[in-house]
Amino acid sequence: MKDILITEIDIAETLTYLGFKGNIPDSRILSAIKRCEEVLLDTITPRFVYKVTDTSNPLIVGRDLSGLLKDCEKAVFFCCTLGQMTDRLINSAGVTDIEEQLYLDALANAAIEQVCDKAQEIITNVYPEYKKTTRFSPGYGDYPLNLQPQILDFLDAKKLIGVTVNESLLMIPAKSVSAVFGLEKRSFS
Amino acid sequence: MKASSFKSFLESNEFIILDGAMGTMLTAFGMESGACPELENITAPERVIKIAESYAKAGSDMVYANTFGASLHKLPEGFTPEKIIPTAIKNAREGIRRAGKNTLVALDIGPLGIMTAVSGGTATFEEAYDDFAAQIKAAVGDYPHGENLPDEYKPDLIGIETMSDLLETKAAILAVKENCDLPLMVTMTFEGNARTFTGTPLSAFAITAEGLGVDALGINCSQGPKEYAKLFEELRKYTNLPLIAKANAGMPDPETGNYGVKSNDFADEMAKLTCKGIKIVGGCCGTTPEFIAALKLSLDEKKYTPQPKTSFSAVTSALKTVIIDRPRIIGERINPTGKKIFKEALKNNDIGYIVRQAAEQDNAGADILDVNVSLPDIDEISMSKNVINAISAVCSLPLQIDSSSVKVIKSSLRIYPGKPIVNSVNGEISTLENILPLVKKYGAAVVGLTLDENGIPKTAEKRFEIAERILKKALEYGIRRENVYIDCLTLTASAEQENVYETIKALKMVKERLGLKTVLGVSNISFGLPKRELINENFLAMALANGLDLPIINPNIEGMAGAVRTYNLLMNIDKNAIEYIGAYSGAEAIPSSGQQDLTLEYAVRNGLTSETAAITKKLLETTAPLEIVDNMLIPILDEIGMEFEKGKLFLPQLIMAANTVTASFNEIKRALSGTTVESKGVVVLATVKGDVHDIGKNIVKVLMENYGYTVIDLGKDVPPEVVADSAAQSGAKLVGLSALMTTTLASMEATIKLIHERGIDCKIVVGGAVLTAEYAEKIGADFYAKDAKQSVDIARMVYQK
Repeated sequence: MKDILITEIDIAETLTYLGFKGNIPDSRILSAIKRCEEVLLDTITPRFVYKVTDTSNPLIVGRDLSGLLKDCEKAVFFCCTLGQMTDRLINSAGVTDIEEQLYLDALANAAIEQVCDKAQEIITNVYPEYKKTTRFSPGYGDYPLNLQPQILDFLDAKKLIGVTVNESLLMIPAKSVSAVFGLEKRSFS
Repeated sequence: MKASSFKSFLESNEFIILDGAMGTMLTAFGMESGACPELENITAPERVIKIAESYAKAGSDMVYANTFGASLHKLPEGFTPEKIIPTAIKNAREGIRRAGKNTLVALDIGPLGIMTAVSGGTATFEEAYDDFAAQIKAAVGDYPHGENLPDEYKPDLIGIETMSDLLETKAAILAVKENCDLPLMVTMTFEGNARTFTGTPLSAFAITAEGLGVDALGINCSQGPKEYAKLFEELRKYTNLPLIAKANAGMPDPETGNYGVKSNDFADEMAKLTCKGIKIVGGCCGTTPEFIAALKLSLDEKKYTPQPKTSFSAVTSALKTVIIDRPRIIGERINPTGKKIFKEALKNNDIGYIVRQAAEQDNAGADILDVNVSLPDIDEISMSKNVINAISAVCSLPLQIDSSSVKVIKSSLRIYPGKPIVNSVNGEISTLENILPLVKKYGAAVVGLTLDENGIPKTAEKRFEIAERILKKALEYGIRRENVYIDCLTLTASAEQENVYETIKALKMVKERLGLKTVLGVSNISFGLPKRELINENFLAMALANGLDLPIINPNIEGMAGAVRTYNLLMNIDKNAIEYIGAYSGAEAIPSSGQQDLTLEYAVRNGLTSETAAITKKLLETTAPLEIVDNMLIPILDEIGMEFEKGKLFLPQLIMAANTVTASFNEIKRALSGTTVESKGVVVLATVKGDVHDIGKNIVKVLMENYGYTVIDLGKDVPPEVVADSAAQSGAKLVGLSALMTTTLASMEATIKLIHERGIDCKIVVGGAVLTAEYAEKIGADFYAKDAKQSVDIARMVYQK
């Protein structure tokens, strides 16, 4: 379990989640988003947990993931979360101000991606002679979503960062991501 | 005999040494990665026995049996607690026998791996309780053919550990207390910020667990012993129970799985910790018999000194502790008495409306919320449970359970995540005997009304006598005096002017002579008189000055919350006026817009809420309310909706406009003075069972309301039966269902199927990210809406027919 510090949220990414499709919203909306960003940054408790294995791990299945990892020596399973208080903040906003809820939700979606990026970077820095592949989550391509509980168990994610899934395979806290990426030995030819 | 030996152990000045990790040892002894540790009791008993033996030899006074995950939720198919638990305990005893020691054996109970609604999950209290109860029953032989379970298969005590969800912890504690009389230790896992992953602070855990009658409590897992010092400094303030510390050997390495802290450093740090009132010490993940031996050595010369006793009045939710060391506002708005809309909401199961009342009072400055949902013709028991769950999921204020039904109080106390207040008992012996045992069992606080079978006494002295009687009875039931709050009852000035001051006098006597906290509902004072708020505010100020701790008021009325804030300022409670200034600075800064010629459309499009309200107010002077709705607001919304469909405007702009229109509606409702705007029709909305995404549904709701539809918002994770019942009862012609996951489409289909099976005459519209028109048709929906705008169009079509 490690902490990640996020000091600002990618607004361009947030606007994409809000459906602005490259259009710039007016200043009233932008400043409302900035206000929500401040509240969200005060609320999130970004955490991640990871394990490094070889690529023969039984949790690595399917053509897509195997293809991604084909040149890799190691596979990294990881899980990131913004914490339960983030869900509460977004849910509470839904009771009083749906506009705020919309912004908080989009900001949180952008933030969890940032946390994943940072986590991947921190993990990869432990292995300077390796380079990382992109990340791949259960539910992508032919990588089954129903592996989610086993992946979280493998990472001990419930105990270490408080992440679990319900019977519909919904992650709790909702703003959490689990994924796999590969570490490929750098060639110095 | 063993149970009593644990209790005498607790009273001695010796430390109690627990064992170290189970999983770490199993792995070291060859358990395969990914295997279920509890199955080792059967498949590799020698490993389990050896572990207990090693810990007993190392100096553990007590070992945990290998039962941490022996719950129905976690065991593999085909295994039950009865199959695993007795064997696990027997294995531990065998190890102790081999070590030649007299070590105690604890049944180890870990979390179920599910989350209750309060913590963002979808599991219920009952579901958790049943699973824990099955484990306890398995341990004590209370199952078919278990009555002959020999003693060596039964534990000496029970340890609940590694919990992060307070309601799940409560379910586990109650399962223990109700199914055996073994001693109970409870630990939760806290992060560096002194909260569990689900946000429960140390104080709320300590207060709740002590109230429920555990024998010792503390912290396990999550961090190394060094990090524990700060946590225990805080925890000890909130409990008089012996404390337990079971730290990790640091954190695991992501590649090797090894833990960082060495056994000697661990032992030294743990020994230092014991000055913080800790009595029971042991190790969690990464610790081994070597750690326990070192720990025993480091405590060799030391004796346990109990911490000084603390006494305070407090209530908690799962997220927040409210210490009653200054006036705290109890919000009174969640109560149907005299409120037509509230009654309608209860009848229609419109939980969304009730939760909004909670959020509004929270924002207005309430510290605690009274919850009364009694209404003839509704199932008050299930309504109260639903409302408590729904409020607890979004609002962090502690609640006051308010009902005249003992059954409602009992079932609400059971599922409440924390320590609530019960409202109320009075001097009548029957209420005391029915309700006080519940208050004691569930560790609540209680309001005592100074009335009895003869009504409300006129004089202060007589009311004081009833307060004394209530206190005496409460103490007899084992309820501490700091948990008894007395309500001296407000009389109406217009009817009994000469007795108004008796209330204040009685309040003062109770406070000074009995040292109890006082509660008072204030607003009755002005009934039947003009300018009621003037009387209410002044009466409140009088009561506060005479020692009122818990005013029950409507915090949304500026003057009432303001009177409490002013009191706190003037009494030097609100130091440097920080809260007062926080509440009011900027209050004057909101200008009424100078721009005279703003149009309603401009204001709506630009999200100018206060201007929209002002323009509407002005329009109402010359225009009929419904004309404003039909000829102005709806055309503006239509226009904006069309631009949204064409991609000229985006969702946030649509929502902003919808939100702003709500301000206009509020003015119109005010103009109609309480009578509701004529509804265009009823729409039931829900996010289906298993799914907790509700943004899409909320957007649809705001837009529907803008267009004049009455929306019954059933919330999220809604079972099919609840949707069907609501559709049938409300007579809604349209039901909207939302699902965001492929995995929850099955519940959507089940809901549609049930509505059809029951022959309910309504249309069904579905929406959500993973849906398509084809799929909607396949699962039997009448309509598919790709966005909120389209769902409004569908509502119009349905209600035009």
